Amino acid sequence: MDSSSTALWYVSRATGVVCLLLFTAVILLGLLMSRQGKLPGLPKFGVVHLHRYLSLLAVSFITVHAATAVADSFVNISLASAIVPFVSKYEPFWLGLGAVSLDLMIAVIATSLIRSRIGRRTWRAVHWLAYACWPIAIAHSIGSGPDVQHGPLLWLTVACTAAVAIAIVARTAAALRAAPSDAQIRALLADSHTRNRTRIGAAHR
Amino acid sequence: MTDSNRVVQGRTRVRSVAASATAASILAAAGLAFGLPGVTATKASTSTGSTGQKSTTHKTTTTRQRHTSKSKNLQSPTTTPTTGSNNSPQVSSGGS
Repeated sequence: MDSSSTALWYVSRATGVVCLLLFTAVILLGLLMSRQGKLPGLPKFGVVHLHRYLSLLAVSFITVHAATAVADSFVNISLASAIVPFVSKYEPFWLGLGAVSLDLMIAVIATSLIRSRIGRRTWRAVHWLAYACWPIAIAHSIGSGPDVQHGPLLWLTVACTAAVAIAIVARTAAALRAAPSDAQIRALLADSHTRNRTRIGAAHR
Repeated sequence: MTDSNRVVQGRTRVRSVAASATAASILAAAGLAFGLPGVTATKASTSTGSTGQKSTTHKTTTTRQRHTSKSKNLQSPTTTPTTGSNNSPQVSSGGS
């Protein structure tokens, strides 16, 4: 085992961990954005800018993560297996999950960059994939990285998962609170019905 | 303060936060790349011999060693022939 291969291995692991942190931050900022929230000390548009910036930064780290894994001569990971899921000879399932996650991320970021051309509806539909992409990436890191299965890196993964889970629960609760109840909808319909009848009555008179 | 001044100030703050995040990410990656070899895992494996004697082996493995044994099976499990109290040979294998 030569030292350059070992160095590439550790760089790949390290960039993978940083990707996990960055994507967690991106997901949290995205959830904050959807609630029209803001970060202390930053203007409202700051959340949007940071969300975009960190996602691009995460992609650059993920590129290094995949490139160093491919360049590491100790295990045979082809360039194709970094993009095409489940074709790797080494840990095909866990690396396949990584490839799926990368592909979804590329789709989410690419559609965000051409958002004005594809329309809000399509962009939103594709952007929902981010919610699938993140847990797949977590599964990839746990399955393919034995050092994430115990020790400080396991706790880091647990903390990231807990943060995202809490943010999703808070977001869902806020959305449910904001949605009108059945009684409110019925009252609104009855009110508009009464108004229409009054208008029609006045027109007849 | 006018609105445009506020926007300019906000942009500057966002840029500084983005630059800090980039620097922190690079430092974290570098720190982890150097620190990961030090992250070790101690695994205790307990084996019971035919005589009912228990022996506990503590083995410290680095991530790279785990990687090695998982990927290519280059490392065979540590095989230590030992002799039990009834002089029959026992083989205890350390966990990876």
